[in-house]
Amino acid sequence: MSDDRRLSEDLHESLRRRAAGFSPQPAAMDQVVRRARGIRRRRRTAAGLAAAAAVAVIAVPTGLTLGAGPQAGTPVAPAHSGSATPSMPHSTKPAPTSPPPSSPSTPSAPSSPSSPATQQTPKLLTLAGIARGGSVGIGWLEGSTWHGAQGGTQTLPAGPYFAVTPYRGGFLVVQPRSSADPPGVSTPHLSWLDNTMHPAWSTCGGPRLALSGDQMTAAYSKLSDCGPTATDTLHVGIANGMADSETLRDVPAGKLAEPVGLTGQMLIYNLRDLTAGTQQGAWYTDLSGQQPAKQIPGLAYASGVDTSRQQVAGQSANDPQTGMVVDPVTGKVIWSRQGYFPGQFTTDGKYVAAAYGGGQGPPTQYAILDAATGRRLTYFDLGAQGMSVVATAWNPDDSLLIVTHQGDREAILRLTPGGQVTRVSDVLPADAAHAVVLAIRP
Amino acid sequence: MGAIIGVQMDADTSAAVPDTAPESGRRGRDADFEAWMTARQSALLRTACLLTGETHTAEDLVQTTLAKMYLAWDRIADREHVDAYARKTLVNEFRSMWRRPWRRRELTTEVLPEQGAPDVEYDGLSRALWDFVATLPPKQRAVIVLRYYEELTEAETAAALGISVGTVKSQASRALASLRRTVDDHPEIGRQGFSGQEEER
Repeated sequence: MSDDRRLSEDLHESLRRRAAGFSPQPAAMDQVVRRARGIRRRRRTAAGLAAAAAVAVIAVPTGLTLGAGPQAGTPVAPAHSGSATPSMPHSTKPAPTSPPPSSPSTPSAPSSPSSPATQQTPKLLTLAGIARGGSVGIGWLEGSTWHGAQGGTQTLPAGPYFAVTPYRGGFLVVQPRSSADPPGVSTPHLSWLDNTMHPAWSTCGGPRLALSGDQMTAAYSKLSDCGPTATDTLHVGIANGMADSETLRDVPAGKLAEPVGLTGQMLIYNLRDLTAGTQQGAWYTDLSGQQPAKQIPGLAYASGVDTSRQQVAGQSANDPQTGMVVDPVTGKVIWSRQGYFPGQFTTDGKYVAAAYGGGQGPPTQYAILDAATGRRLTYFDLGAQGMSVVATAWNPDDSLLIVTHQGDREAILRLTPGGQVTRVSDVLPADAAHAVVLAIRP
Repeated sequence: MGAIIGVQMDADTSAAVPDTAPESGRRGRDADFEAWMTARQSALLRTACLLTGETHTAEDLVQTTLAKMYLAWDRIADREHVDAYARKTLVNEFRSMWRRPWRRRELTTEVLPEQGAPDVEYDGLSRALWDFVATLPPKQRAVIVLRYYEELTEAETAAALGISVGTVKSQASRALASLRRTVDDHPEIGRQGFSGQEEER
């Protein structure tokens, strides 16, 4: 990394940390409206004065105060030329009891709109307050009701579900362990529901499912049973075919493989200790299963795969707070960002979603990054709105779908790379009957 | 945030229109604006804190910015660029604030009226970098904040500040050169930096 690049990143990190250290109070809507009225009055006054000066009919009154403009409801004064931040003419000094609203030198004046004495609790953005716009372009579950990407619904067996993807006319689903499972491993239950919505097979398995970029191939991790001596195998199957899946490779004893993504030639997966649950690095294997699996250098774990560039996002093995995108074979770092947790890429490889913020706690913000450079394009501060992220997935139109909790409510929000936030689902009760699970995406 | 109907967006907020709108339309527009404001205010506040270096002025700056956005809301046609428009208004207001006579007088004081709360994560190199940024003149500081915090491109930064791309490049380059000298002159602040670990690979 060049000195300039490193200095730029250090500077970004310094500013990010500094910004997180401030605790400013947001303004309430009525404060903003009051200030807007003050600005409008001043503009009218200024416009009136300018007109008067132009025709030289009257003298400019030196004692004019802010309240001297036209009455509210009268036609708007013509826009005067100048910048976006017009200021009072020198001759129109505000009266002592009417300090300029933008004056930081009078922060505690009782009449100041931003005075703490008159400060009102700012309203949080509610899920219901976010206007509808756009649509969910992928399948998703609401409780046990499947909403197809092309419309239409299907009813699955009663949930809850952790993950779901259409598979061979039915669904591949991950669910919590049941009380009937023997004590042993702590992995969830993996099942294939056939087209009658009955489980054709069901066993313990990895919590993650992966799809190829063309969504034709699915990968999953299936344990031999749920007992303490269970062994894991990685499977790859044609998602819309009729044949059963193929065993890609056996996983070392005591380990669990968690598929992350499929490129044209390889499967990327994380290895985890089956009982302790600790991460054992990010790995890749060729799809023939003939070559030995290899560990991806420098990554603690992988979280997303760029199928177009064949690159992998994840967290640094040296610093778990640093997110990076690497070449899985050489380990070359394409870019890295401290404090970011990159996840899924868009299928065209243009963008990658990333969580960040929150200091040492869970991330509170979600961002869309340029996948090639890591540059942040837009972000949405959910923590500031009392919201938390349940799950994310990319929409086919390159907008980011965010399943969001706020109190006892849940909804799917849509964040575009241009920064537009809309709601694409009803506001639902955050309970098991309505729990939202977005379909697995490549 | 629903659709926004109005004329083409520009950076002139001088026309005031809300009090001529029908009551029902105004309610809808206010709700639309409030939803946007609530979603984006915290981000604007953070940027304003970096520009001003303290919270109260930042709050004031953002409130004025929001008020001007409120007045201009009906004329902002392109919803995808509302944030860029707000950022431009914020920076314009910041720069004009420093041009005001009373503000220049305030520059002569040695102690800022209020400082942000110290951050436990914030020391060593991070503090040194911020201390350097805090000494920059307003225009150069705005360039640094927009380029390295907001992560705008040179062209986006130029558009937000109303200056040329060349000026952005030269301002940023000068700032980085000074910053490099500062860091080199004070090895005790931790030259390895935040990204040093990656470089070791």
